[in-house]
Formats: sequence, C-alpha cells, structure tokens
Amino acid sequence: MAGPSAGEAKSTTRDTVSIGPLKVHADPAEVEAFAQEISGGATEEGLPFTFPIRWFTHPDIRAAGERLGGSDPWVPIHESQSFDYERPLKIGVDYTMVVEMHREMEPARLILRAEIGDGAPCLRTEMILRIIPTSALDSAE
Amino acid sequence: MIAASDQGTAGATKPLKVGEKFSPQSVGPWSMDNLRRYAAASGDDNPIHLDPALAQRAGLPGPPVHGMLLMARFVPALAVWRPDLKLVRLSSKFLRPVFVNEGGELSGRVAQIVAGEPTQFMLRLMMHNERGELSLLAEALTILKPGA
Repeated sequence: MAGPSAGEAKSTTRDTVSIGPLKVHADPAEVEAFAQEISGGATEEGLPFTFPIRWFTHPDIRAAGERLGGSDPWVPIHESQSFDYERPLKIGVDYTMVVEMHREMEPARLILRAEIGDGAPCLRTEMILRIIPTSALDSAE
Repeated sequence: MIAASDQGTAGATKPLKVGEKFSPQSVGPWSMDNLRRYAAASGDDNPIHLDPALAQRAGLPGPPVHGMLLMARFVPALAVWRPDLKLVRLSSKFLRPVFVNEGGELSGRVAQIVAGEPTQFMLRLMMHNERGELSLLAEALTILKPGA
C-alpha cells in the first residue's frame, strides 16, 4: 500500500486535478501477496511489473476520482492500462508518485497519468476508466 | 525510453522474426475466491468484480475478472515464450470480459523489430476468453536481456 501522503490534490482546472507528490513504496509482504495472486508466486525478479497498480488506490487518488466522477453513484470499468519503465522499481524503496487525473464527459471517463520516480522518472503509467452510473446497471436488467 | 544499463547485447540464440508466433498458453480459470484475494492484494475492491448481485443487475452472467489480474498474466507468459527478452513497456486494452470461473488463452506474435541500440522487439499479445472473444489486446516493447 502507498505510504503516508506527502501531498494533496490540487485543482488545476474544473476537469483536471493534480495529485501529489505522494510517497509510495512496495512492502515485501505486499509484493509477495500480489505475486501469489497474479501468478501463484514470485515469477519475476524484483517488483512485479504491474504492482504499481496498487498505488492507484492511494486515498488521495480515490478522493479525487470520487470528486471528478460525479455525485451520482457509479462504478469504474477499466478500459486500458499501460506501464512504461525507464528503470526497474525496487522493493522497499521510497518513491514519489505524481498523478494528473482528467475527467472526460462524452463518453464519461477518468484518465489518470502517473509518473513514479526517485528524483528522476522510473515509470510512467496511464489508466483509463469508463464511468458507468449504477443506474445504468439497473436498466441493463 | 530505455536506460543504458538495461540495454541488451546484440544477437539472441534464436533470433526473432517479424510475424513469429508464440504457442498459445492457457490461463485460469479464476474463482470467486481468486477475485477476492486479488482484490485484497491489489487494493482494487471495485464491487463489479466482487458482488455477483451487482454483476447480475448489469446483465452479466457473473463478476468479470479484474482486467489487471488478466494483464499481469502476460508477464510470466512472455518469460516462457522468450526468457531472453526483457519487458520494458506493456499496454493493454480491455475489450471483452472474462467472467468468474472462466479461463482464457494467451497468444502473441512479433509485430515489429526496430534495429538500434538496443534493438526493440514490439510484440502483439492477445487473450481470448473461453467464448472465443478477444478479451485483451496488448502491446509489449521488449529488448534483449544483458548477455542474451
């Protein structure tokens, strides 16, 4: 899980929010649990390639998503994800994560672009979430 | 971008060719318990993956497996296909769901080779669900591991 927040969401425009820098790190026990669930145990050297997805659950990022997602109940549906490494991330090392979150209206989406590094970028990652109102789920019956 | 320390050496034991296909690999199935445990390990507690009643309300036969749980399977698959390749970039679109208790099949091919230092191998990776639908369409940028 992400470490204590070192930053807070800053509204740059009505539909875009900057979050961070947040302090994040990969705890060895969390890495082991994650590796177990994705592939039945450690199959990768060091940090699993997709482990940083866990850092998107940071409370500051969730709070920003809830604000930009709108007041009506909704669920996120993952549309796409990318991880672009410049250098491998290491287990147990503190990194900073900066996120820009953008709300698109039509179709309703949240686009999150994050950079994780140690003074220099190690990873750039992008997440696109479709916003599905819970009421739309009910009408799908 | 690739750091100099990550650059591979030229010449793999079995040189890759554009169009070369990788043998399909079966993955899953994933049970409801798998989804709960992945949710705990990843922090992704989106109820659409964990609440069968919510999935039913959406007209789905069951909760869809987390896209990231599926995407993560490309990494060990690549290590089986080509242990001499180092993964640098991976992107995926989540197109069709894989539902709980359903498995999938991974496949891939070499889409492009970009000569340079290091030479880059662009791979097109796919996961089909048990109904034959394309669930994930992914692209991987790889280079040769040092010494490969």
